[in-house]
Amino acid sequence: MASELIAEERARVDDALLESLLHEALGGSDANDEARITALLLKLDSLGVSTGRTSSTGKWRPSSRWLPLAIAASLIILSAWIFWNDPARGQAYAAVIRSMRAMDAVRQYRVEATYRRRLVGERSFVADLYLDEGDRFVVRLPSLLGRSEVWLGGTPNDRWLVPAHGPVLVGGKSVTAGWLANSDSETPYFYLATVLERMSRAYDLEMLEPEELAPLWDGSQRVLCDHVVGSRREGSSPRLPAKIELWADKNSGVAQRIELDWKRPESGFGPVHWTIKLAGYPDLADDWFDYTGHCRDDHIVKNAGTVADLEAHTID
Amino acid sequence: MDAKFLFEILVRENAKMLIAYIRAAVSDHALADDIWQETMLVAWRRLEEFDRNRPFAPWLRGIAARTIIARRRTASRLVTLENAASLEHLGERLERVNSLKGDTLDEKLDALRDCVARLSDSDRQCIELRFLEGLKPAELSQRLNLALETIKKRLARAKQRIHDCMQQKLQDAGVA
Repeated sequence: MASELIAEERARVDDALLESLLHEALGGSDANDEARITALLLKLDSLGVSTGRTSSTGKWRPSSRWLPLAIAASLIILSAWIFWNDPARGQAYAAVIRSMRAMDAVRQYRVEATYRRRLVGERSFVADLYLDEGDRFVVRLPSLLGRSEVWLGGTPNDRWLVPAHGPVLVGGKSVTAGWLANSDSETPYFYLATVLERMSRAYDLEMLEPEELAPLWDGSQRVLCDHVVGSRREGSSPRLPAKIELWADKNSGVAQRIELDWKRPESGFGPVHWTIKLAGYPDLADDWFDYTGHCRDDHIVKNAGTVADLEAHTID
Repeated sequence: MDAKFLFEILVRENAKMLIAYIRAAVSDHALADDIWQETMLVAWRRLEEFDRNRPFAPWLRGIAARTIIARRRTASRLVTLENAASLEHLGERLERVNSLKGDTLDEKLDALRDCVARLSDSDRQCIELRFLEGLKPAELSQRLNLALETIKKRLARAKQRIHDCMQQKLQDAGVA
């Protein structure tokens, strides 16, 4: 059928493919790829998928109430198996799993990120990240020109954005993806649970000697932390950080500090280094994890269906 | 290893190739993301129908093509390659790129990056501003202080040179 295409249409297809590949080769974002995959996996989870079996009607098999128990059991069995075969690695794995589960209080993290981009060179930004007990997050980011701030929040599937000027934008995660790609802030790494989950699955883990860290909010205190270093396993996505280090409170398991290092050569572009430090347990307003907590009452709210809608607004 | 984990491996292996395919056919990135996810969900649901003796990527593209055609009814303005023959041709072209050296699409795209590097400084600047920074031709015109027509001609010339360079690389790699 394709052979019947007229030359003009073939040329149009070739041009469209070349444009798409150029976007991917020059402007492709690791984080957007990872976000797409994470969203798919979360969607499969939300549909109650655990083993890939579908019912005879082709519809999703309803989620079993035993599923969480089954997942917990498989994690325990996997931990036990690793521990049995390699106690040091087992401890490291257990520390990461424990940290994944220690998400039972509202926390604030300070994020310091460095990127390297073609033509522009290295750039850094500092952001404040807030996580609730569930799956909501809020980030305060510097705006593109650094004169004011932007608030971004949401869940794994939904996003809202309160820009410095213009209407509040509410929509699916793809709504903010284009803007984020340009602002150097890439959301998958704002989900600490995702970082830790990847660390437990795609990295070779090593437990180092425990270390004492001074909390950002009280330099006089010391928190004894498990220190785990993860090196990206061969065969894992080269877009993931080459090395992830985790310092987790030995008592509570709460992540105190996470460092992501892509170990990029001088000629490489993309994220270079992220440091995420626990900055405290703030008492936040009830609407903090909603856009209403970060804009005026009379702010116009736009349901932004597409990235184009978003890009139509000046964000500074 | 459970089926979902194996499926995730297949997703990771094919994610980039699939989004490149969809974005070539759809002008809106948000819609492309939606189609990508829908394609993967349909693939998961129909995994038992997949013939393991055949490659996975073309099967996935087949699902994507049907999804794109279905979306044309509700978002015709955003779907730029709208018929089955064009999408089939797109799949064939992408398969040729897939034959280039490299384990991942990113590695295969080194050939394309090399073609961009071979452009003249002025052409390369245009291409990088267009595809790296995402500037539209009108914005490029402002940034470079050149007439819009000049920018359009420069972009068309640069893309033609990249296309020719890629054809040569494909030929050198023995891809028909």
